[in-house]
Amino acid sequence: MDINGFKERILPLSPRLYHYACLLLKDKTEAQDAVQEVCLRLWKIKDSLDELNSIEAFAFKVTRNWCLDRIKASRPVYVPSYLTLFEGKSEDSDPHHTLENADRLKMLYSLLEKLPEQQRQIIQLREFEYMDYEEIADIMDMNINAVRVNLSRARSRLKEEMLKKETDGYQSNIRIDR
Amino acid sequence: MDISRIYELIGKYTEGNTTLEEEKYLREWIQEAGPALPADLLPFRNQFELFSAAQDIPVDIYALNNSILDRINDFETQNKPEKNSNRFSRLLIAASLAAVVGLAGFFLYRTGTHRETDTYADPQMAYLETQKALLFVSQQMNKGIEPLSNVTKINTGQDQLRTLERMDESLGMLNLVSFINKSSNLKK
Repeated sequence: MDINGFKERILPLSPRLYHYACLLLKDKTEAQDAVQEVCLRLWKIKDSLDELNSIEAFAFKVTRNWCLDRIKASRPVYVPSYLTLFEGKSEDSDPHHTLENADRLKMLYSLLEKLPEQQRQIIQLREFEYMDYEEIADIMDMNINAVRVNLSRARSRLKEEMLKKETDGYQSNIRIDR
Repeated sequence: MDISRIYELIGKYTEGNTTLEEEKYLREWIQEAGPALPADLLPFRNQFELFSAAQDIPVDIYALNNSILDRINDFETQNKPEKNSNRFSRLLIAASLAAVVGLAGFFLYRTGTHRETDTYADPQMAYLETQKALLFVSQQMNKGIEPLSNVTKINTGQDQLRTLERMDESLGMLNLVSFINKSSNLKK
């Protein structure tokens, strides 16, 4: 794979890898470093990328491993307000929408934090990245049945938590355009 | 779509058995249902809205991709393979330098540590000592030459043996005479 092939096939994954790293590391700068490092690693093995079943799944797997190593090495500073993840250039320049999404993301995080690490990562890959079970199993080094079981448990737990949030006044906190 | 089909999908979704297409359909249906959405499905709508928020983390794709390409460029520059001719000439220079340093070191060591020093401060004393040493050597040589005089005796012995050789020749002649005598007897 030459540089043009790399630009066509790997670079388009960078925003998704960035999102994934953001949600794992909860830090924009760390996430950007992660994506740069992962892409450099992919470049180093560019000649063998075509042999992979799914370059996309492999890229996510490398990102996951890199982020987990970073977390183990030095846990990133916890971001009290997820608003920081929304700072900077965005296609959505509406500040009201940005704030609203920040609140939603903050709530999402508070929900995800209640899940075990493995379930949280599976939810991220399925609900945010829309990956199929095989890809998730590959990224997580699990079998497909284990992915389904963990996903089912995570969804049930999230539903319970959402019900609790509703009774706590979720609707009054976040304006939802319908 | 029949609402019972939606509940069927919700069941499959909760069990982790839906396909990506089914989940997409479910999300869209629930989000578009509006006020007609059954109350027990409301947690799913809120949940899907939260999930969609995760897609909205802003990212400057242009800057991100440029930073990636810069990183790759740096890597390539640092690991650029050298041309063979360059490598060879560098090796040649390194080998030459090593040889020069090695030889210089060798000579410096030699002249530095193995310099010949005078054993006598007085030249007259040195001369006398040298003369004494040479005299000793000549005496030893004479001792070695004396036994060689016996070699002449060996030569004398060899001369006597030559006389015996002549006797052998004469005996050979006599044998010839006897052979002639035998021949004459046979004739008779």
